[in-house]
Amino acid sequence: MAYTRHDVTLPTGPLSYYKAGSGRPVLYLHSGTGVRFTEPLDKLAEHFTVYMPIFPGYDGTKLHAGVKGGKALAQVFLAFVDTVIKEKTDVIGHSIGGYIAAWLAVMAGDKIDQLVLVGTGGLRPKGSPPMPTDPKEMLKRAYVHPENIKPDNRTPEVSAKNRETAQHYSAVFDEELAGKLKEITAITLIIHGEKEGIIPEETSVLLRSRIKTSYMIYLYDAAHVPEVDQPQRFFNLVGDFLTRGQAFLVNKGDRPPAGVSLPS
Amino acid sequence: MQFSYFHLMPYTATRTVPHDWPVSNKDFDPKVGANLYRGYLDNLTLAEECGFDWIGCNEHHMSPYGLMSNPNIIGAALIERTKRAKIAIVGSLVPLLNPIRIAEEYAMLDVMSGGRLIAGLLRGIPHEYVAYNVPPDESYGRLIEAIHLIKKAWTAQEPFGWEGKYYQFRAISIWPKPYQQPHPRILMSGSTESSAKLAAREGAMLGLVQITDVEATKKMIRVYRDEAKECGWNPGPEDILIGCSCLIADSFKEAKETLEEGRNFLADILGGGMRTAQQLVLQKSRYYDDDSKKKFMDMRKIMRVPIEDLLAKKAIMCGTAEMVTESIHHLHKEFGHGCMSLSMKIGNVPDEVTAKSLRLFRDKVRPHVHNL
Repeated sequence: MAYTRHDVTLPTGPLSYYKAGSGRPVLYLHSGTGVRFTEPLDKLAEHFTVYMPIFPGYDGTKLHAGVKGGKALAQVFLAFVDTVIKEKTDVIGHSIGGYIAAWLAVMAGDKIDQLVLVGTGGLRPKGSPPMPTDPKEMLKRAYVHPENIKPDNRTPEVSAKNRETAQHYSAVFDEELAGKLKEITAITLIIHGEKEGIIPEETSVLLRSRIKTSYMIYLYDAAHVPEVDQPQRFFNLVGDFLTRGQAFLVNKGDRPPAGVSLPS
Repeated sequence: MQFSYFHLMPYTATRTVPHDWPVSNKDFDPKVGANLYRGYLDNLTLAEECGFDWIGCNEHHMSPYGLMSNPNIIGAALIERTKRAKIAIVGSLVPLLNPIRIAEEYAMLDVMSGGRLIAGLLRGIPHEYVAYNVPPDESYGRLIEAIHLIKKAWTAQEPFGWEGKYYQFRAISIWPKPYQQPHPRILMSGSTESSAKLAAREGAMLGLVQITDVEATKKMIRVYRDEAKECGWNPGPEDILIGCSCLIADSFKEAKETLEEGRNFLADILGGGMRTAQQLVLQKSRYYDDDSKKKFMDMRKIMRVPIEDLLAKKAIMCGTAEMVTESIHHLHKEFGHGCMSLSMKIGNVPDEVTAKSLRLFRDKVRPHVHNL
């Protein structure tokens, strides 16, 4: 499924985004690395309309004036939902994208249908080991199967700038968000790689304990980027959740190998 | 040194030599079975009275080799009859079962016993895979994933789900949680290099429950220790369990003759049918790597190694209390282990003989070895 690039002007500035597929909307908020075209996203686009905005400042785009931190960036995506998607949407957020997605769900429960948080950032409890800074160590802790990583077209300069931009939006532990997690009304799936080496398990446990209707799933043989470590398993899980909501708890018995049986 | 008394609970009231597997149960007499269970539970209870620190049982299916298709049921019965001894389930055959059920049942046993469970998590022996129709090729992968899932079920602070290769669960929160925190001690087999390494990686005790050769056993301990070091921990003596058959009698002649008869019964009748299936699975699957396959291929040969050869290798204990005491000292010197498992009910060795052997252990062996 081919993603096409689009541009929109929001009150805070211009925003580029990728779009693919048709059907119910899914807003995908990327990790600190930036947009990644993974196998599960391609498969999701066979059943949903997937919107994947490029965070302002990423991949050569400009920061929006006055937009700093997770809460402010969530406001930008709220405007994106109002302007581009224009209906209630499911949201998937990975790493820093999960942090922003959680803010979005706090601020606009009426606009978010189901929420998927994957290796969520911004809520690193005190006493957790620090994020690795050495790229080799980062790679080791982020992937169980680095052999699955597809080549990145970004130049080293763009990748470095992306990492710098992530700091512009991220938080170590966002006390305000932690205090507001109980306000999230969206049914939430929390995915934690069983061998996650970047985000502490306590973060996902915190999300599970505070978000009223939430389900935490360990993805076996996966670390921080389960979409890459276990693409099929990730798609099976997320596809089933987005399709059946809370009923994903119930074994439907005839699950086909692809993982989901979606309505036509 | 901790001592474990291990029992297979064989069905000894048959004389039929089986050639196939599963073994037909037409010879099983339920009344005899009821008496056997009662007698075996008495025997295991006596082991605690005779100073054994653990009493152990395990899982086998569809033959007279062992009457414990679910050892946790025996574990529950033993909890009610004992006060001090650890209940060593060595162990559940993990790849054949629902891992959540294992986590739940082990947690129950641990809570019911006030923290006396030793949680054996084993891959099992090849023919058991026919019994539960599980692909033997998947045994290792299933074992590893299931162990991770079981540990998570024991320790998770919030309800969780699991999306794995072999297991998918969407909602888990076991009641009760284990008594021992974070979880009961895990024991895993180390009869091959890959299993010894896995035990080390999982931080489990290494169980070599039926040694056949001192040098081969030392090698597995070395593999286990090296791998544990790689993983950042150093196993102590208490992390290594060594086991062998044992019979203590008033004379070497008496012990040898009784044990020999019991071993013949084990090889010909109790182990007869399962060898067929074992060979089939070994030939038609990748259950073991090639080296291990060669080692386990001829089960009959393994079971029929003459006692003299095993005695020469110190891989069996048979004789007077003094001889067994000397053997325990010798093995301890060789292996530096902290736990010794002794099997006294070998084949059809009469229960009164194993009871006498247990009492001789209490009176004449244990006083000389428990401080090792």
